[in-house]
Amino acid sequence: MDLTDPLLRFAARVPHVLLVPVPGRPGLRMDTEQVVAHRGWWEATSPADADALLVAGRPGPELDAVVEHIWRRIPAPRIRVDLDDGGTAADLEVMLDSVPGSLADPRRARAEATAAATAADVTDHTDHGGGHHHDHHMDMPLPGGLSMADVAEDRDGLALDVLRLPLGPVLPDWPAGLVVDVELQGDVVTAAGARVLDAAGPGPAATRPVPTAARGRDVVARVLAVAGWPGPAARARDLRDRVRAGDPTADLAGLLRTVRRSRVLRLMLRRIGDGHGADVAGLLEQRLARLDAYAAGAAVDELQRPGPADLGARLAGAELAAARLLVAALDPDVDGAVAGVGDGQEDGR
Amino acid sequence: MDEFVPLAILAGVVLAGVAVTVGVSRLVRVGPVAGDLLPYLGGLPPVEHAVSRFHVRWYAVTMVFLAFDMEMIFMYPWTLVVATMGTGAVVEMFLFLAILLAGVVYAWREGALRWT
Repeated sequence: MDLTDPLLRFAARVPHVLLVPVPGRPGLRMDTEQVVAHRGWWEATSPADADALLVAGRPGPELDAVVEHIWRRIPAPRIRVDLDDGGTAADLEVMLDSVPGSLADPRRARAEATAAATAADVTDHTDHGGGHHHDHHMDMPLPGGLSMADVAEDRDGLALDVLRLPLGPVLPDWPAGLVVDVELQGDVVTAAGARVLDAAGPGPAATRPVPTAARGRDVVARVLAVAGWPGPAARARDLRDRVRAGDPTADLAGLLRTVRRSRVLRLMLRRIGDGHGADVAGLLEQRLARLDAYAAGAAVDELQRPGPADLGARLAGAELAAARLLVAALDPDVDGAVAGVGDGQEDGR
Repeated sequence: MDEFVPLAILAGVVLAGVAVTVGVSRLVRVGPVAGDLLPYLGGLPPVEHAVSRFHVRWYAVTMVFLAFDMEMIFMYPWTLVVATMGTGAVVEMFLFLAILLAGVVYAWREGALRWT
């Protein structure tokens, strides 16, 4: 239909890119975020919103299964870009140059649509095959074949359903490869267990570590983005990119002033505490103070990042939104979890 | 019968709007829709069906809202006639509000509005 071509061209001008970061490759993730932002493209929040899937690094087997799961759910017109482990920003630019052209091609779009429709029928039945076995007493078939949640006592002693939810690795502003298996009652997390995908396999080869100042700005950007303040979050990311490019004297003071002056942000983050006495407002202020000290030239030691095993205990008792803010503010060490086992094979795997 | 003419026109406009939206999307789309997909949770398949109740604090707030909603129903016609009915009507309405407020204060002290 002739209506399709101009609409495809119009839509392909600003593609929505879904980034899948790989644990152990923080530098590559930051490069991809920078390149996408510089082109004025949009970072998608979920596969339904995405036009292009960008995998930043070579994923291990578990993360690869997740990427396949996501790829099935992206509607046509779509394109998949896989970045190798040794990819640089220049490679990325070359690969991304071809994306709008591929998205605007109607024949390719139709082929992708048929592929997506047929693939979904075959492979989705294996996802919930286990659900058919253990509900003998259920007469009515539930949609998707999934069983209902069991009932248990909640924090007020009332009987409420316990929903087990895997908060997965590809969420906006979420640490790479982190999966938090929460048990939700209502919207309150009663128990949580965090793990990093592919932590048991050989890790990626060691790369140049990200400078502390850049990492600090990255965490601040994440907390602001999850808290719903995209302007300063984008400014913090821009400062992070400038630090990585070697210009540390960029306008940090302005950003710190804006963030510290905001009463709404402070009221919002104030009483979201983890079990250890820190709250998100305090954690954010700690990060900002460290950025100040670093910019003033004082020597700042590395902040101790909690591991995934520790993270689960800290999320218990929080609401789902508060848990999201805690994960962003605590900045769990996903790169360390993957690299710890990985001193065997380097590349050539 | 001609009180229903505006209603029929509105219904016609709505149906036409829906038909245009669906029709244009079907003409313009590039291929068949992939159905039968489970919801996206972040990359891993869901373990259980997500039909579950809300935490009880939402229901307590809903009951308080409902009480004040019924009070609003009484206040809407009252606003139209209070100017002609004088001070007595104002006093009666405020007495009604005070009774409702006493109920809210009782619920508050009993802990029904506790959020965390």
